[in-house]
Amino acid sequence: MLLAYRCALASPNVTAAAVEATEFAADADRHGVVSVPAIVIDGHLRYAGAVPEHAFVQRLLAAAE
Amino acid sequence: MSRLGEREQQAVRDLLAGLEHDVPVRLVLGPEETPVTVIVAGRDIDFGAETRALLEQVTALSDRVTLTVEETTERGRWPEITVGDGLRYHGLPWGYELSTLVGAIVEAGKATTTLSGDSLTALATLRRPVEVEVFVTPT
Repeated sequence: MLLAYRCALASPNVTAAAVEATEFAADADRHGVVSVPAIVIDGHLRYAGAVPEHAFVQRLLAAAE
Repeated sequence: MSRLGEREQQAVRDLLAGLEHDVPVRLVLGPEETPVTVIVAGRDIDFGAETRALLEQVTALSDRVTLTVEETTERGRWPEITVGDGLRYHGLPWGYELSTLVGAIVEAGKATTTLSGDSLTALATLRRPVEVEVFVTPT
């Protein structure tokens, strides 16, 4: 989660939000979240699990293309 | 339920002692779009009240952190916490997620980013807004 926050602080084009999946189970279900952390970019589930900084940024960029 | 013990308070106080500038924290409370019932220790959790109590406790641990609380009657993903200019957290940051809340405050209070030069260069190539949501759980 902190990587997403760091990217949001570093780029005016990135916004980042954590969503508590227990409390917002309907949202989690709608996105197909089955494990956490689950990364949803522009409303689409992209992947689950923690990744290193380099991989996180590359996946962010790929999702934005 | 979400209250911090003395050891946790000291750990958070130590982390917040490193803030290099002031960090505003804003909490918005209101009716949830799809309310859920979670029972802990035999009682139904009031997520809004618990979040407010937790944030009051956390933000009191540093003179650099301020808390404002607003209430709305519109349905939405409340409670919503906004740290600094726009780091958001939807829900009660309980359990392990306390570290996400405190981490957001610490990140927002840094004078310089800790991202690598390569990451900053890559992020600078973004040509459109991107919205990242990370679904998390307290356990």
